[in-house]
Amino acid sequence: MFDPKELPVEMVQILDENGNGDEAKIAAFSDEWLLDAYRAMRRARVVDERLLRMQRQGRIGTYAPFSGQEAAQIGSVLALQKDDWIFPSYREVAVCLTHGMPLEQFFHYVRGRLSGKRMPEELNIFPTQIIIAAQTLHAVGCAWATKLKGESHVSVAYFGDGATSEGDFHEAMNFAAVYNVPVIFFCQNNQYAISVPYAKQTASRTIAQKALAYGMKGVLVDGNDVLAVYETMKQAVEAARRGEGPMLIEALTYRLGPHTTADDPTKYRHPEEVETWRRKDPLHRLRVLLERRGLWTDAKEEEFVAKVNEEVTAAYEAAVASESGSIADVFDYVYSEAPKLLAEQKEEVIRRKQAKEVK
Amino acid sequence: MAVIYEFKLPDIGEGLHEAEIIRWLVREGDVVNADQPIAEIQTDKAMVEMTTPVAGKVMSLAGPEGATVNVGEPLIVLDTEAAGEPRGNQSEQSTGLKETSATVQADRGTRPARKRVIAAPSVRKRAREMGVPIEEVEGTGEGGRVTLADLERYVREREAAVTVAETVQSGIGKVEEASFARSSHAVSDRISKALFAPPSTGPSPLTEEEERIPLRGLRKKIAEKMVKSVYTAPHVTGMDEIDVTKLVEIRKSLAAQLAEERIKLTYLPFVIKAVTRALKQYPMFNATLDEETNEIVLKKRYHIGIATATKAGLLVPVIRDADQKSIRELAIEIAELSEKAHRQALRLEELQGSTFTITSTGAGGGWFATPVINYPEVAIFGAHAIKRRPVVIDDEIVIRDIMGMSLTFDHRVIDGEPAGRFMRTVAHYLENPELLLLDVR
Repeated sequence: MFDPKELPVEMVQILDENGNGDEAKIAAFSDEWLLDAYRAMRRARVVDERLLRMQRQGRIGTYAPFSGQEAAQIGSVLALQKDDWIFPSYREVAVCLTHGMPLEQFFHYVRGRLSGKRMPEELNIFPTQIIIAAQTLHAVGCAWATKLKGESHVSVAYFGDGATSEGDFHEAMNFAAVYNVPVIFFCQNNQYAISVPYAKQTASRTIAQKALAYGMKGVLVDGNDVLAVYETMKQAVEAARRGEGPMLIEALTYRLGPHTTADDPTKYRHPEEVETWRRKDPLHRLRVLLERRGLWTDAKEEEFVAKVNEEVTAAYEAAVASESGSIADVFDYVYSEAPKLLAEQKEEVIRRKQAKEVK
Repeated sequence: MAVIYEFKLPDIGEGLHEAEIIRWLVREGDVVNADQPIAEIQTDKAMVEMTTPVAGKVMSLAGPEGATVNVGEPLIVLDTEAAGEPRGNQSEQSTGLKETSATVQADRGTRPARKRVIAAPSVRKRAREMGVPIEEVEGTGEGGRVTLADLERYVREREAAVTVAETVQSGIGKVEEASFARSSHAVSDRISKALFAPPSTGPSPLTEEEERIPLRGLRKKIAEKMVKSVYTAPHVTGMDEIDVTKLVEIRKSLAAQLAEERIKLTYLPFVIKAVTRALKQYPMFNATLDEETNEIVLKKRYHIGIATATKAGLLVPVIRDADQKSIRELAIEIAELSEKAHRQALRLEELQGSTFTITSTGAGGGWFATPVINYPEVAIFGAHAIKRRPVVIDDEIVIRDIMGMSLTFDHRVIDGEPAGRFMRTVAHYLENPELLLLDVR
């Protein structure tokens, strides 16, 4: 008989919350790599905070903040090659930005423009998925195509703990393992499915162990340790590229803010719990390491943050300036040739809009 | 030249209609930087910190703290040309590792605490209409939620303390005038007209409709005793029903007998007999707690206090050695004491020395109650109305005479389990009053 209680699941960690840890492994990371990772994380944090404020100012629509999850997002994406495919949910802003998505593009998305979902051609990023766990299936399909075509890309499905309660996730996992396709299931376990805590979502001790039932490898990693996330992801991606099949990675992390700008986390989380995780801030431990190596100072940080703020302002202004199109455009993107009914609806929309303008 | 920017309240939460201003973080005349926090607002969904999209000088605010702003209406009006030296800048807000907070919730923790009021928008609206500062109202709903009933209670209590009420009311008016009457801009005028209409409760005409009765004499004594009891002894009340069908018959028959001797026989003598029997079985109930020595003092005599309603107020004359007295003797003594109580003719010794008290609220007093212990005793028994009720006996519904009883006990001395046994013992005697014959001497 199997007893899940006897299953040993250890969490991979290189850098602990105080910036200490496995010195030999830490030493393997170059100054340059650490600085790149830190800058990407700090940039993401500043962008996230700005976006939250801009939502409160009515400049963008509903927004799902990711602060606290920078190491999981950026550590994983840094282990990818440029042409690897990303299948993001709505919280993967740091993943997409680091993989090359222009910030201006994201502003189009959060301002409700159709162009916001049309990624630039050269970027292997699927449109943001709102349906929970649906992108896991898309990732598997893409990986299968890659395999059939004999290409070497790896596909990565990004999702949260809540997605593991969905049927799509289980179907995707099963299919991926059966067809041995190069896909990584990267789960950021931020411990809440909106307001539902982990313990009420699943009786599994870990999400990583769910891999076993599908016949694939699973691993639990400290999602607030960018070094551990990178190392783990790198191994998974390389294995997938070698044809060794899919892997499930659970990055244990915590969302410091609300689920989206439309909820109040104080209603379902204890302030002490948030405080506990604030002490495990992924940026803090990396900055401690950088300072120990003499790579970063307050002055550098100030200068960098100011630069990012300028970047955000410029991207926002550029996005607003380049907005185009009208409500009638929504009829253009499902069929190459609009069926009769859709064509009629589109005409009606245009007619009404004109009538309004005449008034 | 002034360039006016109206920051209109956006729909920040998917389908919101309005928000309440909880706290302003800027004042009129302040110069603010873009992205600087300006206010905390409470929507139907969450408490949210608002930041200004542009820099400028604050021309006007949408209203006082506690006011409601509709989505699409100006929250703050800025003169963007007057943006001077900013107080703090963007990088400060997002640089330091010490302040890694991404969200409003996080920021809030570092600010001086302000009581967060939980209340439905309709209740908040009503509070504003009533001129009630909602943060002062104690919420009794789920999780401290303020309800309409709480508002009404607050107003009643405020009216009861007239001097306090007057201060509060005039205070509200003055603060609003001082802070906001300065708004001169056209937009803010429009807002302020809507918002700063004088509170509906002005200098109160209520004061003339009230009568003030000095708390003195017996009333004052009762007040002091009740406060002493309730704030000293942790009160717990148990309640149950007693089937007194047999007792009703017996009393009826005996009362007819005693009527010839002009003695009025109520249920109280039977209750006293039953209670003294129970007290003998459970000595902890005939006791006091000596707080000086931390000792429970068990009383070996049974002096029963009888709570008696008089015009002047509640009196508790004492029947000494009640356990030694017959039903007839008790009936006579109760009648005497009651008569004296109504004439205010009780001597001091007739009001002192009880070891346990019974309150018999009678037919008009409801079926149950939560009596207050006659401190320093440790329990009080309530005998309440008798009603003809359908009850189940041997799986059949029959009509029986049912009396409500309550027992309040001092939880420092007595636990719930013995209290339950005590009540069942009293009930046993009252349900089977013939048992009282067994000990008749």
